[in-house]
Amino acid sequence: MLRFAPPLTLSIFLAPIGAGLIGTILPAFGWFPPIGGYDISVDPWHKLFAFSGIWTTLRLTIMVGLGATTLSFVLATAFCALGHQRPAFKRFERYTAPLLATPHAAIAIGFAFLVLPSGWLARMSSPWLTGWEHPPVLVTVRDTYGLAFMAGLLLNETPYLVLMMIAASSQVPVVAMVASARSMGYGRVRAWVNIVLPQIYPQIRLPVYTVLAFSLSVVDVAIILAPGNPPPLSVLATRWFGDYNLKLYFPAAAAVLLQAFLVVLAVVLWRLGEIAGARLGRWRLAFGSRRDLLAPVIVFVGSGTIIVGIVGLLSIVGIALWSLAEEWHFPDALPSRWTVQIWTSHLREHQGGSRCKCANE
Amino acid sequence: LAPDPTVLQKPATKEIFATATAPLRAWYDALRPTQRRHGQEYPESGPAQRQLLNDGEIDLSVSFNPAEAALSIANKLLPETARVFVLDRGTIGNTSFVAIPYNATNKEGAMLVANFLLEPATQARAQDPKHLGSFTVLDPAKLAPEDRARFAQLSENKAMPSPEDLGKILLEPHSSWMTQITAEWEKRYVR
Repeated sequence: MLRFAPPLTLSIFLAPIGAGLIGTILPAFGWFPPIGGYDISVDPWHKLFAFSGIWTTLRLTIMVGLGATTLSFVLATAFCALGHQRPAFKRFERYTAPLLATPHAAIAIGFAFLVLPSGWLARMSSPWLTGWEHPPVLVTVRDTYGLAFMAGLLLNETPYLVLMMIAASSQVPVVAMVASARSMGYGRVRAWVNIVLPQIYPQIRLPVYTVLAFSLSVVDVAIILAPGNPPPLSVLATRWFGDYNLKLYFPAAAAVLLQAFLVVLAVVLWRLGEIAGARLGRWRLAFGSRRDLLAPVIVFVGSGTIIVGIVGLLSIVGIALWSLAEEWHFPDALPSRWTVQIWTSHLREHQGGSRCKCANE
Repeated sequence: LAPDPTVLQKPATKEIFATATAPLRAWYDALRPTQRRHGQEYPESGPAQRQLLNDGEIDLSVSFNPAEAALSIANKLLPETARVFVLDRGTIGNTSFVAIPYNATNKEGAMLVANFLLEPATQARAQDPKHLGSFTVLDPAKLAPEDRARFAQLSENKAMPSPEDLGKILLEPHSSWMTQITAEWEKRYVR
């Protein structure tokens, strides 16, 4: 009896995904009877590629997806290479807990508020330092290249990968291996990168792919931080799905399929990168050089990781302050009037007692 | 901006569309570089634009609801100094509609609700920023004095325009204009 359990469990998991996939593939080729789609055709794909910003959209999606994953992986690796076996490193988990527990969209809003021209950093330094009485004309979030979007993704992804690396390290005798590598004359950073990383990488491969897929397809963070004209592919699909013009449902479904294809393509690319990276590492090792050329770079990048963590925590503090602000105008560093009304009214709503306050759009 | 505004009431055909929107395009091309971020990037939604106004990043924002300023002030989303203005030569008077689907099960009940929504007392309460902040669809000049007084009282709020403040009300163009202008905009300016 028990041997039926694995296929059964699998099918319980996969059936809804399969149904969803079929429900996307059919409209992507024009079949969706409820809104009059009876013809199988490639017309939705024509419509998708006729969108005048499609190439910018694709470039933005791929650059940010690969860029955010690479950067967060490099930042997390550098941080672990530097910090392993240090006592402060153990306390790291305490600081990452809020970063991992806060929803991505909330961190994105907090980050946007931090770096906007009218944001918290500008407010803290104006006008006494910058001389700004009004928000300056600067482009910080929603920039054309998606840099703010990428940075916003790093805030969640870097601590996540660090935690994954710490968990994976506990499966490997790190202390003994680093000690023996060091006895052969390798520096601590090099010892970790050369000996420990290749052994824990197979365990963090799936989390890395998750980060890759997430960066390529995230919607909420993209709406807040990515450019909107044209937006990343995920946002474009969301817009079309929600459009009052139901005919856009077809190109939206095509966009989602393209999105899935991009994720597969990116994972394949990443896998090729892994193989190339492993070859390069082995080739370098064979030289037997003991010089730690990487160490200064790693120190630099590792401090970048700490900055990422601080920015993430500040983003959370920023939205926490907004939740208590009644009025907070530029250039005040803190709200000018405080209130707990937002909290109390929402708490009351959840108790079901109060009437719904509907904001008019 | 259209050379002959009457064509806007009819469906937009290809030939009429090109000539009727040529001045609009020229005007917009001149205006666009002067906008925030040179008109290359826009806030995602109405609320996002209102937040930019609240932060002082922009000087004015557009709303379909004349009561938006009063409503936002009441909800602490804009400073108390926010005010409403309309265009000198008239503004399109688009307003809320209530429709009953053709296959509705309880048409009579739906009509009853629609009538209730149109009652002056309901409309005045709905316009009150403390409640819904949705500007009335009624013309107070045609109402009984006691109902008119309800709306006059609401307009004592400096951020709430009175119906006279809204100036000349223009007809909404045939809906095909909106979709075609949007498509044309996307074709020309999304890169």
